Amino acid sequence: MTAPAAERRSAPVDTLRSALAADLLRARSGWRLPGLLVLAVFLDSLSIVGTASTQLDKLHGGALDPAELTNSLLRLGFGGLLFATIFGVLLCTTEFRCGSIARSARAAGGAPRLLLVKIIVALVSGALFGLLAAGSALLATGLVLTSRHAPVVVNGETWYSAIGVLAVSTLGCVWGALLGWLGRAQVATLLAVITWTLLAEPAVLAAVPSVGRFLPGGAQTSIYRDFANPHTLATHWGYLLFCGWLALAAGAAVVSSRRRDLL
Amino acid sequence: MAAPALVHLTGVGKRFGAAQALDGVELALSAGRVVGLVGPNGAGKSTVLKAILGLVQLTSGSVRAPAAGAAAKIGFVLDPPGLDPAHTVRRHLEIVRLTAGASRDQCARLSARCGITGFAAQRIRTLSTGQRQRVAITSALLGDPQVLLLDEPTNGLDPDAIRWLHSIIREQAEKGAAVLVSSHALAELQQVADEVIVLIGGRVRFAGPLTTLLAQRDVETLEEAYFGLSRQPPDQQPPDQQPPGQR
Repeated sequence: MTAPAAERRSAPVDTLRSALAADLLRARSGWRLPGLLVLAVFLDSLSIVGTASTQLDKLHGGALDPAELTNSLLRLGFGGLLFATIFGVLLCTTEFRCGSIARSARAAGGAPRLLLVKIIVALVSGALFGLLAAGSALLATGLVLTSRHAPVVVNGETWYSAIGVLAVSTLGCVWGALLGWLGRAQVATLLAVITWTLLAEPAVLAAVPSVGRFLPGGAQTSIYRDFANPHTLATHWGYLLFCGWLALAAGAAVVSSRRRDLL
Repeated sequence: MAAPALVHLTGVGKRFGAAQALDGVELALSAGRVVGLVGPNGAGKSTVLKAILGLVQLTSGSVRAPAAGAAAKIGFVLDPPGLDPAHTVRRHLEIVRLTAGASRDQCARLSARCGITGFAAQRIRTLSTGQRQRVAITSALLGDPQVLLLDEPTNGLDPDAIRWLHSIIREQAEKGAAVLVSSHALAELQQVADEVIVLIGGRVRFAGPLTTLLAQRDVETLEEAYFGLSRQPPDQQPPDQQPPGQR
């Protein structure tokens, strides 16, 4: 006996929906999400306060445009990106580490479908990091400038930068999830991501900017519009390039999920 | 009429690099039957369970088993048991409940039946090995699975808990589930298994009713039969390789 057509069609959707609900619940359980969000906001704000104190003299001396100061401080919200990426890595590697990946993959209807679930959950979580990073950066910039009697100048560029900060964290979490899926080993993947993001990539960007701008970090710089470096790509190319990196990582993850044993 | 086979492995082979973990494994799990899977370390017992769950890429052969999906058609306890140490027991079960398509009522009833209600608010990292095993078994039972796969389920359990587990296993079989228990605890396994599969070096050395194995070896315990079989070269085996559930 075969199931009615409507039932056959809805079964994979229901499967995906329940796997998604479970994974969203998993993502917001435990200390990882609140802990990393708090850390991201705290360090971003600290960075804004610290940078403002060094830049205010230039502003008061007339060497810096108030609008440029506001926007450059706001862009420091990009620091949330690292924490969003780390959270993305944890989304996948925690499951591999404790073995719950087996149940999650069964629930989703297979490893490739679980990968899709992870990407969606990473997008949602990354958006949360992005919203908080952009919001707290706006707030911290406003507070630090007004407390030092400096003007807060909001223009079109301010909003583009805020959108960039939001986008870079959102996509960064997906990037982390894909790297976590590929790396599997939690500590090794985290160390690799942190070392790459904080040391290796900035070194390449500084030493060979014409090459570095095409790396994921270079693309992210374009997205949050840090044009201090003349090699930075235009924002739309940054989005396109980073989406290309995501597509590459997603392709590798799909191949990995079809060829490697899950557990 | 024989009970229908819910899981069927046909000529399953699996290599890990140069090592042949499984070699032409044939087995069937039938509704209402408890099958014990025994063999030395490295025999491929866990790989058989993973093959049934579709977690490993087979080198050869095929597996027919209830498809993956939201309803927990296959419940399982593997090693590692899939418990995130950062979660509370309650949160863990809520996550599993969502994937298993079980109701909150069933989850509460099962938690009480499995004796985990008392530590439901604790984080998994704070639990003892036995408590974790109870949580893992509860997770496996959520959603009334048609097939239950248990890898060393008595690990860390005290004698009372082992007796409790046996009652759970029999209860599941009586409800029509096919149960596969992989274990080194042969005396315990003998108390619950209807059929036995002896896996040595990735090959099935015996598959059939426990009573047949004991009669063939002219012994009284599974332990004696297992040691006799495992010390016998493969070419002196009786040609009884028919998967259980097929006879």
